[in-house]
Amino acid sequence: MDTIAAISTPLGSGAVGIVRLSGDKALEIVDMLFRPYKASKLTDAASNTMCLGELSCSGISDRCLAVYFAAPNSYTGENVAELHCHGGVSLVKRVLDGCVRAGARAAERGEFTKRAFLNGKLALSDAEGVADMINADSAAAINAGYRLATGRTSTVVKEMQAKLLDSISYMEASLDYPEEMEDESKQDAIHTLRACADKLTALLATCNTGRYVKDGIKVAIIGSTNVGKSSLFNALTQSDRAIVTDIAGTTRDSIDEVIEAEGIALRLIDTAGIRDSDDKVESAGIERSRRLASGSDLVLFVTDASREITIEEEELLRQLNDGKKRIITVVNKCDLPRKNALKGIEISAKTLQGIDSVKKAAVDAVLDSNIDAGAEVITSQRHKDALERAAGSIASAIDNLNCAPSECTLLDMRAAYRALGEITGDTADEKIIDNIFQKFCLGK
Amino acid sequence: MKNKSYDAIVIGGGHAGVEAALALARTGHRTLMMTLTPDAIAYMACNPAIGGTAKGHLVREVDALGGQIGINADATALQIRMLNTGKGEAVQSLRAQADKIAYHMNMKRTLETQDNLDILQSEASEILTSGGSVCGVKTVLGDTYFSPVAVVATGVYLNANIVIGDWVQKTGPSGFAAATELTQSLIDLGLSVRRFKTGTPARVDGKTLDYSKMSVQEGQEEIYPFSFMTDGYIKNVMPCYLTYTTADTKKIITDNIHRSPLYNGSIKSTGPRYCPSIEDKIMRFADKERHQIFIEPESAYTDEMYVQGMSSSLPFDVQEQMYRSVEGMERVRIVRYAYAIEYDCIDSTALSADLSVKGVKGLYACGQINGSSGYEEAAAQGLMAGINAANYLAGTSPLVLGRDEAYAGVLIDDLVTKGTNEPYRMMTARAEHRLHLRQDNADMRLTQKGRDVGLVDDKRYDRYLKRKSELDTYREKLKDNLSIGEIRACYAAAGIPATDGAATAEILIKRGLPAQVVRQHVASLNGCSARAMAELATECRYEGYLKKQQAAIEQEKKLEHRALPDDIDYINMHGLRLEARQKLDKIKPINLGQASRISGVSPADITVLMAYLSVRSK
Repeated sequence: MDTIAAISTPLGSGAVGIVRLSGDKALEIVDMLFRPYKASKLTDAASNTMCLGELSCSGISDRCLAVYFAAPNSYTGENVAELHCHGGVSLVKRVLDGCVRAGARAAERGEFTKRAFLNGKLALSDAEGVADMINADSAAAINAGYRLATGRTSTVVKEMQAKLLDSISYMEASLDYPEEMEDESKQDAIHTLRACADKLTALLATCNTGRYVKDGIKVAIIGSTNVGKSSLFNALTQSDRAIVTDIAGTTRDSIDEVIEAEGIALRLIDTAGIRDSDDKVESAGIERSRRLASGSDLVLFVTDASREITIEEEELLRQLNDGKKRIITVVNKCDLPRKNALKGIEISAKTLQGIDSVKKAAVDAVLDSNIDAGAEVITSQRHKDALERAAGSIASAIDNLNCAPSECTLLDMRAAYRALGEITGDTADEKIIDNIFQKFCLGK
Repeated sequence: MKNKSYDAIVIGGGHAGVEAALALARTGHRTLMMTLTPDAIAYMACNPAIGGTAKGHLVREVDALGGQIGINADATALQIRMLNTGKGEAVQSLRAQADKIAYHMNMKRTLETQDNLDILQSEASEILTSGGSVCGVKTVLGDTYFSPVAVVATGVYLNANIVIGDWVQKTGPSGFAAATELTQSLIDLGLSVRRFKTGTPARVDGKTLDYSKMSVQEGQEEIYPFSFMTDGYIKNVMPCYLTYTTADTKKIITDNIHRSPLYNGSIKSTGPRYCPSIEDKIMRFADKERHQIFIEPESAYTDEMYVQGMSSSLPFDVQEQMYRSVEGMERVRIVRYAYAIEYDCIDSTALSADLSVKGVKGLYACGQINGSSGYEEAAAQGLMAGINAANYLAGTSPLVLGRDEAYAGVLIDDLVTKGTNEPYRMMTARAEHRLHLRQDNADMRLTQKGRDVGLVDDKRYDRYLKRKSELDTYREKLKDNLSIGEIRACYAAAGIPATDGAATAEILIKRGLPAQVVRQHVASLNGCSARAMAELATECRYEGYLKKQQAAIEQEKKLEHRALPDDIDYINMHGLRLEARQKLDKIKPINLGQASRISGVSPADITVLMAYLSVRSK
């Protein structure tokens, strides 16, 4: 196999950045770029052992660590080498560039895991579970991934398949034994088909919930200037990432952070406050907040308890309501004397009073019901596609049951069965594999 | 001994053997057909009928390829019906009652008048090989016949046992002798031998039946025959009768079930689920009040009647009571008792898709020895084994029919890929490309292939070309816009209120107007035959569904087109489950599609194979 290389740590200013290589020439390439202090080359040292040394490529040099894993005892099953250099986007990118110049190819998305699978290091079902867990930000998402892997979601689908199979068999039997049975298979089928249609509708309805479980809830913090949005952001994230001053308009760019609440990831977006210095800018600010709000699943509308509600706040609220957004009003600064009549969750970002209530309210507002361990929640786009196709085939079967001959209705029923089989693993389809691998991040 | 050398030897003269022998002889190969007795050539040991759901399709296919079963059934039919007329055309099948004596005599005569074909009464005892290739067949008399090809078509005769109650005899069906020596030779050649069971009902004296208590089942008129070479319609000369078991039948069987070899453990071999004995039906479906029984004529030359639905291996005295408990059979006299028969067959996964035995060049197997049941299934395999043995002799590549091309392809693929744990019966449900694999278009699907292998003579080929051109011509004309006068005439003749606007004949047919009415009232279609018109109308009505099915076919073709090289080391392949390694190693599938149909090979295993192929191709 040709040699692939990729940056396997998140791009950003971390302390360490790792570039990983896998393939026939992985060791050769790393020996070209890296010289250990205590040996003439890395591959003279033992496998699976970190070596300190000097990295030089693309006009840079860095003191760094390197390690190699000889095939087949590596993640991909091939020769694998890793360069652990200092973090920093430009440095790590240069190291990757150096690897490519030395004969590696930049890996495609998911390619390391794909190779692990191709070389028999990973079963398909593991691969899918791993894909979801890699991307999981919250306990609930990991659990959903785990439920998928352990097959609890597929149990429901299997039950549906079993019923469908019964009806299909009945219908088939009446085709192959016309002289020997009274054909009531269509009457039987209509019950099964309707039951399946209902179940599929219910399952598909959980897809949104599933998306929140898997991808988290996007929460935009919106409000006028100086109502304490950044203070709330910091209180929620238990950090001081957002700069807080008493100067209106301190936050100029929106910043994001992911927190976990009730097992669900909340992707918080702290927005710049709306300036009220002149009409033009004010309306531009409202517009900007509305735009940010529209891309979110939920808006935390923050207001200041210590003063009266302003006209622009009322206008913003009205617009948000028109946008049919889920809104939670958060009344900040409740530690000060109350002058604001707006109803909402009363908090103090300063004393942390009410912060947990905000988290819980955010989750409750978005999820229709609590996610309990036993509920079937569809989190995978692939599963959603399969269920939708099954639902389509079932609908077609119901439509045609009385006007088309059985062998035609059976085509739809079998197609539905096959689609469900893509979830339970009853059918193999090359496309599925391609899709799965596209969902992998580079590296693990 | 020059006269003991042949191009091919067929062992067995049943429904598989005769097709194999004819295919070989007709393609110019000097062929010897060995049979235990020429009196049992193409003998219908069970139902005196040819066809039925899916089986009728097989007959049409064998005929389209240049086989004999359809012609012989047409020539000897006592009545014919089209089954499933209430369902769509794809699942409609022909079924004919055949005169079993005439059927045998007519087929025997066909063989005798065939050039290049010798019939010999003898029992094969050993298949001789040299360097991994067949070189001859030895008989029990010690005689040896030389040939590079042996086609084994032993049916139910290998080590056959007949069982009636606690009476067991080593004999073949209907009093014919069993073959006792060849099994060991097959084992020595590396084949694994299994034991299957089937059964047949009593034949009763028609003079002792009270038909007034039964309903008459006449054949249907103006039904196209099996063979594309048979002109006109089949005459219905003898009816069947329908009657029912009674509460007494149930009681008699339940009271005596401990005497059934199936239930007291003396028969251990595997019988077919889809063809249960009457004791099986009564015991397993205890809540069913009565079971239908068809009385079918065996032949115009005899009073014996076949009691369909009442096969059994109960002792003779129970049989007597049991048959007499059926409505209209109160005074029945049994001529031949019902019996179960056990026989040796091979594990069909030892065969390649051309029905040759893997690892032994020139050795082919077809029919019931491969674990199938039924005359039609046997004939289809016999024909394909004959064609492929002929191709082997000619040095040309095998003819393997796809699952999307023929029921025969489905049948053989199932047998060699999945294998079978019970006698295998063809069913339309097994054909995923069912809407396309119709009995009406069997010639369009297969006659060109039959021509290419040399089995389709000029006369058949001319008919095929004429039909093809007729279908092609009028398929186009169906798309022409009709005049308002024609549209109105069609609606008026059909007695349906007219719909305004332009229309083509195709549109009218899709709207539900009878195809023949449209044919008669549209000038450009007047010249089309009723038969072609009916077929074109079927294509119209199925069009949307055929597209759906075609999409599924394309999907599967992707797997079918991923060839699996035969040098793959499955046993040591990383990631495959143990069972999959063993099954794949044994069957050595030719492509991913076949691999995916092997029982014990899971989708996960298929992804491992895909992965392997993509690594290998780099």
